[in-house]
Amino acid sequence: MRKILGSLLTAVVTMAAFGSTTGFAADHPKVIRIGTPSGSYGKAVSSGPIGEIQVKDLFDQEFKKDGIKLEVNYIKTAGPGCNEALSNNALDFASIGDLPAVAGFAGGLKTRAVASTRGGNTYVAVPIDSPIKSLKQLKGKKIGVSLGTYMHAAALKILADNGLTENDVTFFNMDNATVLTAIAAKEVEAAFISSDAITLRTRGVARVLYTTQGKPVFYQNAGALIVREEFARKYPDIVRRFLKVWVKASQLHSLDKKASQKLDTRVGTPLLTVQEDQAGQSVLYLNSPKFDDMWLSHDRRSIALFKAKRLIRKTFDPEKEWVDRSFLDAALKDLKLENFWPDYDANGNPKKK
Amino acid sequence: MKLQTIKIKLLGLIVPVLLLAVWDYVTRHEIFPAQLLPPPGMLFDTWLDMQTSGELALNMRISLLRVAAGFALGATLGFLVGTAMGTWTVVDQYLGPLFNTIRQVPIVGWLPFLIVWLGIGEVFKIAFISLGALIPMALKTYEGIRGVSPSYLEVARVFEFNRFKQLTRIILPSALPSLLIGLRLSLSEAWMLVVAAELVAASVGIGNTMTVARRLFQTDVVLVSVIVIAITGYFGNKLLALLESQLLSGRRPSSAH
Repeated sequence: MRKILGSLLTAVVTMAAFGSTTGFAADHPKVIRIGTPSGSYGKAVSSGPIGEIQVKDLFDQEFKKDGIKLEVNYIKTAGPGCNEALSNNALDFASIGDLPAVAGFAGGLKTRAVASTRGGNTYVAVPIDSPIKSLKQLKGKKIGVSLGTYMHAAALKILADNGLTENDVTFFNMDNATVLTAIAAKEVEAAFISSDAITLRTRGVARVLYTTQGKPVFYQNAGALIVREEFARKYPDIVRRFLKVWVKASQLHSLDKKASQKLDTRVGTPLLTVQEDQAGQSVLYLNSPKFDDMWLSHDRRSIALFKAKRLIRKTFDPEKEWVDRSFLDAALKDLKLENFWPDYDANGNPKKK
Repeated sequence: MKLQTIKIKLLGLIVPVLLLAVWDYVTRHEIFPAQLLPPPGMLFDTWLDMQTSGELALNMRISLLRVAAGFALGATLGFLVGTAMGTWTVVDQYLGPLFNTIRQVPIVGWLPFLIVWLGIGEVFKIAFISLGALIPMALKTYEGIRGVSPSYLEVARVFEFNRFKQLTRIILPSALPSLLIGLRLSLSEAWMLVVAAELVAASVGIGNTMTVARRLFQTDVVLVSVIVIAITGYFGNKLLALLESQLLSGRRPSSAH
């Protein structure tokens, strides 16, 4: 009896000591797992760089010879859900928005930002017959928003512009798919959502009260491709090569706005919605993976805002503590794309060389 | 209090203190990553921050108000239902099977249905909590009334008590121990359900604090909320136990427990 108990105890302690690693390190993993917010239409395909990777087999071109597969995980609870998956080692990479990426790191999640993402407008939608005509009338209303996502961050900025804070309204947490039904069913009086608002407007279900289109870039999303720090430490070469795939995909998506928008519709978003959402924005800008002034100043301003709003409990310097350019720079050099994307300034304009 | 009683009460603290020590050790030496299990020191700081900003007090107050409303409504209705079923056999025969079937459904199973019917506002939350508080109270009331000793009922017959006098002078006082247990179970259920309701659809309240903190990867806030909920529930229960001992002091121990 004692022997059995003894070996049981040893087993339990050993398992506890090795924590939640997914297995002992070979020289490379068999699978690279990337997480991304699930689209509102529930399709297990992506737009953007991941879409390019899927459609043009870019991952296999780089990794098939090593027998490594790509696993794309569509997370219903968006950025916050990706953070949870990263924290229990169920994901290696994630492409998420500004608020969840920053909140994760500030909350102790050990990640590194290895590429930037940008673009993504936020819209204020109200039910079609709503009496609400201006943003100031949002005071005291029930508002659906996916908390912890870039739309939550945008909501705070938009409310502030109209003399309101989150305490003047009632936020109800809803994921992408739920909030669309909530607006249609009039369960909420308004919602901060993505370009799905355009689709709701086309269907005659909602009115668009406001959009961040045409506003300064700070109102848009500026997220990141993040990697688990432990994964990057164990497999730096794999991360470098994955960044090559990512940069190649970003480049392909930057070439032809029409073609890229057509590809983006594969997630179920109507083409007209995609076109309207991206109107007036350069496809080159929207797909730059670089940590330029635009991204860094956006990130710093965001960190200050989130701290003031108590969304994060400690601040940090993104450039010094979080961003790791080495993988991106190596990939750009490898592919000879160092000058493909200009550096954009804090206002989103290309800097003169 | 006698030294012996103090000693016994302190025994209950030994395991928590030991767990706290192990927890501190495990997080200090990073055996467990800090983002999954914040160190006790950090939790204290977070608690202090939440307390001084008023966030904790505000949200707890809202949740406690909801519990009070749901508990009051649910326990009252439960008492009425239980009394009706326990006193009049006819009621028991007609309502009993339905009641016993409905109570097999875990209360959280009613959430989607209630949200569709009542929306996501306060009405839904109070209704949800009351439903949960009703059932244990109804059951315990029923048990208490049915469990009245036949010799007491004899006394009532001898004195030719009418139904009302029978109820108020003999049956309910005899059923008091069961009723008080019913109240405790009812309150406990109400407390658990307020958090469940707030996790699903709320904009304020301690359950909502947990939801938002989870979305923002603030594991420390989630844990502090859990601990505050646990301690509040514990003291609520203690309060009722005190009431129970006061009301039941001087009674001979009965078979109903």
